Amino acid sequence: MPSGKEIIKVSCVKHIYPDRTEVYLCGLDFVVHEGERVVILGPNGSGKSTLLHHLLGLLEPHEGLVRVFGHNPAKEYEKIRSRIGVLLQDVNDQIIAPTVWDDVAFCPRNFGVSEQEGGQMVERALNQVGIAHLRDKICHYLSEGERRKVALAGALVLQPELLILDEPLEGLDPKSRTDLISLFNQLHSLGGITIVMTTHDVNLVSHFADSVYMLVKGGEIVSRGSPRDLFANTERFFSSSLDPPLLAALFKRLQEEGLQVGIPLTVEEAVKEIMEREKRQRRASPEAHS
Amino acid sequence: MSHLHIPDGVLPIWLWLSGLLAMIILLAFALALARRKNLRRNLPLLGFTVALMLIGMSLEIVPIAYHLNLSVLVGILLGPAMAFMASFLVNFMLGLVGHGGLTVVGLNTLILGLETFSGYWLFRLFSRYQKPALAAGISVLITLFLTTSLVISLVAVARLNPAEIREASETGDPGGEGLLSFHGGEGHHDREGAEGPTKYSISLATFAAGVYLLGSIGWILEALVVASVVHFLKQVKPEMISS
Amino acid sequence: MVHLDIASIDRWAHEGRSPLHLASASSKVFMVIAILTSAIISFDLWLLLGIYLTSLLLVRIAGLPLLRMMTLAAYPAAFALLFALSQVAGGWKPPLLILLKAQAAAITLLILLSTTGYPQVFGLASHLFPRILSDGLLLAYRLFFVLLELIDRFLSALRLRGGLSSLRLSTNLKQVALGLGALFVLSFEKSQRLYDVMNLRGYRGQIAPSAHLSLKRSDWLPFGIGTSVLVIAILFRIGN
Repeated sequence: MPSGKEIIKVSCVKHIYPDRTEVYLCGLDFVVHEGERVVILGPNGSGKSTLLHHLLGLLEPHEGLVRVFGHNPAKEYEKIRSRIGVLLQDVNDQIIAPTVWDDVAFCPRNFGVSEQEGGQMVERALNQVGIAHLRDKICHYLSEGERRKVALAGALVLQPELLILDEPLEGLDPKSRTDLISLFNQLHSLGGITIVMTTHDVNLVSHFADSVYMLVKGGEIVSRGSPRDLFANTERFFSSSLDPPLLAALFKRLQEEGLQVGIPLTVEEAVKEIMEREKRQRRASPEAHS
Repeated sequence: MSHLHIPDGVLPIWLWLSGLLAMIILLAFALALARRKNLRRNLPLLGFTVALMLIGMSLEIVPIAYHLNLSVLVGILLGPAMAFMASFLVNFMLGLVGHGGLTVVGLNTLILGLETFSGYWLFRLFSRYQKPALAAGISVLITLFLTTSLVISLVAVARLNPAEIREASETGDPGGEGLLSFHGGEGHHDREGAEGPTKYSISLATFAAGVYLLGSIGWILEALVVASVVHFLKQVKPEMISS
Repeated sequence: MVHLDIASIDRWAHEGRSPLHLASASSKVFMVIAILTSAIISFDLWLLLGIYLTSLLLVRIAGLPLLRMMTLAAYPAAFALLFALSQVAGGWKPPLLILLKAQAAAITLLILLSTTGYPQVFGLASHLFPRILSDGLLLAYRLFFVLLELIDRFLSALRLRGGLSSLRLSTNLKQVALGLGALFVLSFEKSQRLYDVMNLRGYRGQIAPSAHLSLKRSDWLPFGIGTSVLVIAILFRIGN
């Protein structure tokens, strides 16, 4: 569990949209430490994207505090831009240049990086994401998954310290989702990058998150903790209009029926849990099992 | 068609060169004006409207090749300066796909730019007295009539060779050929017994009649569609047409 | 009749592997300028017919669908035909000359964009434009495909729900207007989002660099054809 310094803090932010919709990101403070992988869970309309947009300086709160790397992003994003990589929900909104190479090179070019150094950065980002073979392709002929990787490469090219991902797995098939999660975990383990991700896929949490924040409709942050803390109390999911992870729900139900089991996070843990219970039972009553 | 795109190879060189020069001057002016209003901020909107114009031109609303060009609508949304830039970008792309020309990009831009300019100011005028949808429809009809008339005028001008006129006035000889002058080709031998270049009867009336007749159907279709779009925008996002 | 099909043209450029596709953008631009110049300065009927047939030959060499290309080039023929009508008193030659000029020019330009990726073509053009305009060009082209996807989905939904008919013009007009209105609103909102994204990504005035004037081995074809046509056209013109 990372215990680095605090790099993001959001405290009771109130935002009013032009159509008068109000979002209160209140309740618990939203805090992210260096090197953490944070997942923000919540149903549609809970303010997940609003929270991210405040972190990116795209929105300015009417009330409350937002700090990223110690700066107010709405006013000082220029100072922190190169330290943050972003992957938006709709990657078509994010891809600007005609070819894969040009799009990934967009940031270095506009930051004034030399062509040679920029080329090396682009090559590294393409290899990190596994799309070096697509470098000369025209973006509008790529599949959704490939475009997402292009956008991700574009987000990683300047080697940011913080990666912000808005529903990155939306619309992907299960294999692509698994591959992308593995990629995020790899980026984290190799580079220590801090990752903040929004999703409403609760089953993702156990494979990725160090910390989880849960939002309810209207923006209130109602829960904060490790995945294990969260899974231990499945009622919190219902209050956020989410279904708890299948494993957690199953083992919680078994606990309620009186079985002495823990709440596993993954299938492997579940198997281990069941096998250990089986072993305990055999030890307790060997005649019944012979 | 509601709008004519002049292709390459049809008009005399001096005419399309003049068009290019005029376009460059006006484009520089438009750029300067647009930069004052933060052009970079409006660059995405410029990109989108150019794309929308191209989409409009790809939509065949009647299966006899009538298509929209949405120039008046773009003029209303972008304002004259940015709309002129959009006109240039559209015509440049159209030239590359054989739907216009590259040498005549200047003239085509002037025509489309005039549509956006005229459409913008006419809409501002009429919307003071009429509902936006009706104002837009009327603006389209007047604008397209104006620019069609401009195209016919260009054709009329293209039939005159300034070098020929000058030489004829100085020497009395209606001849004069050079690499850049336009005649009808091998006019020398087209008529029996004729000597020198053949003078063709100007059937501008024939040309004008065809263009006005075919064009007017397109004007009405375009006016109806643009009026409906403006009506929709007024209901859903009124700030788009009031900015 | 398909009169403007940027998507197909772009796809041909993307998928083609003919000698013309493999040639550099610079050489093809030279070829286009040479053929265009030849068409403009030529007034000999047979020469213009030769130039026109050369352009059709290039279509075949590029492996492009001939009839489709001729159809796409037919739209400017409409204006050329009307213009030519004004010269009908001079016989059949002048109108035919005008038509051949317009068609040769249109097909040659179509060949350029059908055999060359748009980033290369626009990259070369950006040497002539202010940076902001070449960025606008690149953005517009990319956004065309984004919006095309959206309008395609809208039209499919309309067809499925019986909203489009070749017999009901007024219904079609209404539906097209509805679709366009929605597209305009969406574009307006997306343009604001795009500006945010460009800012987030640090846009300071360069989406893609201008293309270098590089040459390739397969350039002999466009250079050869362009030069030949131009030389012949000049010789004809001087001779006449």
